[in-house]
Amino acid sequence: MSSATVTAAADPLVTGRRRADPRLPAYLIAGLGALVVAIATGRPELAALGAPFVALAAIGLLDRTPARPRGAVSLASERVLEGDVVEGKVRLDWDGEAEVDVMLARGLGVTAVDPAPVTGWSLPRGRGPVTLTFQLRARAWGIHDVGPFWVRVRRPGGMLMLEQKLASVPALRVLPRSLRLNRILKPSDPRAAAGMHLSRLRGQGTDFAELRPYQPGDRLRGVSWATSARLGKPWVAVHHPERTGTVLLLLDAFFGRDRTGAEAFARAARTAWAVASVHLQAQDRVGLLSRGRTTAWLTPSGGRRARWALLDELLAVGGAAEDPWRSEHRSGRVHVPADALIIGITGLEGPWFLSDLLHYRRSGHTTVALVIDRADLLPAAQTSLETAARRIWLARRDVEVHRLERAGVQTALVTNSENVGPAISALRRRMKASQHQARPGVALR
Amino acid sequence: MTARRIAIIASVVATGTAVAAALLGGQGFWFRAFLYFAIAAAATVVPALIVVQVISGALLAAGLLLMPDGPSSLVLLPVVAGVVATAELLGVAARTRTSFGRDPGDDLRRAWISALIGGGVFGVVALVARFPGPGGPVAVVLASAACAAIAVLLVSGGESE
Repeated sequence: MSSATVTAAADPLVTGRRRADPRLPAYLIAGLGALVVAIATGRPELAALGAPFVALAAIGLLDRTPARPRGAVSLASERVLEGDVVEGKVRLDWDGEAEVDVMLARGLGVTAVDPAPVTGWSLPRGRGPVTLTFQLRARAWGIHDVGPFWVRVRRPGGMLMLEQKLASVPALRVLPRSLRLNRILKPSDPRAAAGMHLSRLRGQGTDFAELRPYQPGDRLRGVSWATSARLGKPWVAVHHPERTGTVLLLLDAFFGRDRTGAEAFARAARTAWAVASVHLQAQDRVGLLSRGRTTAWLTPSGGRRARWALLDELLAVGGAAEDPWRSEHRSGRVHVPADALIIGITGLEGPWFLSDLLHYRRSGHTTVALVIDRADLLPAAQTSLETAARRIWLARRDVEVHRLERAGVQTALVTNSENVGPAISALRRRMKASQHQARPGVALR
Repeated sequence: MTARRIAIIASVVATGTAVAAALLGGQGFWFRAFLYFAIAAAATVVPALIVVQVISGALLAAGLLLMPDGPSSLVLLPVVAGVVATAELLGVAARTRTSFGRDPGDDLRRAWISALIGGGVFGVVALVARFPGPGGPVAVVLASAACAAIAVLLVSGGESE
């Protein structure tokens, strides 16, 4: 990916906060308390008892000159693919001699590679500047707030320390791994713009529709000379015009907050990106509606700009999904174009997503659902109780799938081993079969 | 050295301190000594309890000092040094217990020096308090202030090297 170094602001983000070591209040209370009681009671032994604590507290407070830590964080690249390792550098400086702890605080969407398991250092007594290198593995797709870096500075032997949020790591854009997909779903009513779907209308195109007798006004190049010679009068070949379709990806962002939930959501996002990419290549207009941990709405549009906008929205959704402090919410339904093919991508976790899908189906949209399989993410059942729980979980998923299919929403399971290609093929077959049942007289490709 | 080992050393020092106090105080001090040990042991897990450990240690030593026919104040030197050493070791253990590696060598060295300073200051002031002269708390307070100043100067000289 990009090799440019991205550096975060070097100024401290917040004013440092002084914190006392737990020994300091202990020594002050014990020492001063003993001295006060000694004076009050006239017992010199108590003063002797308080003296060492006061002395140690005085030593701990001796050097209070501000260390003024400062620094910057840089990443070798701000765009990486899922699973890539990105290198970074922390440049730190401070005044005088000090013991410094440095730590990357949040680390959302990434895993520490070096140092591990936490991106942090405890620097021995010394002077700045220092340069620290680190490596992070991009664990989940999305735009991730990896930082900020916190420093804790303490003078050697001191009992006061300064904690300061020093600099933010630049946002890391982790792009989803590409899934191999070369099949697309056919939108119900392609639009009157150049594309690769067949319209039910006849017109200029490359896909044969039918032969009919020549009528005044027909172009000569449309005449089928072989048929005309055979039948003794002029016949013309009619073709389907190639049109674009409108596809709306309805991404279910209701996933569990545990690791399996995050992985399942990552699979959903990869599926969404794969489906969107292949439809955009087919000149379709693709939109995105996401519900759950975050809400995203991108009106259907086509072309390269739409591709980047869609990727940006997906990355923002992915970043939000990794943020454990986000609350789930559900906003109202949006108006989608009448000709849009709704593709729901769901793990069937959230209760509202199903009703949304069914709502669009009842509104007359062609609606399909790609169900993300997360059975392989579940821990292996060790006891009969766990086996039963697993079976109940799978049965519940089957019930939801049947509920969708009864309402006319064709579904297909996206498994981790087979990816999205077979699921799209299965959906195409089912859509074709249902269209045959619904409109037996209409020729389908 | 790991935080766990440092915590074990702190527990051993606290045990020694408690046993010494119990032996000096006699029958009535066993419970107080056990209480002190329990607090020190709890502070190995919860660093915020270091405050309670130091105060309970000071109260333990004060109880011994104020006992009628109690031991001489200079005999209490190991108890005071033990309380300080335990607190310092607990502090080091808390600092070492981070998720990233920390070498506690410097901190450990300082912990033992602090225990020596604590014991030394206590011994000097206790000795000054026994001298005949103006007597009373004023002399002792002056002596302790002088000891504190000396300790500060000594340590500040060492830091600036």
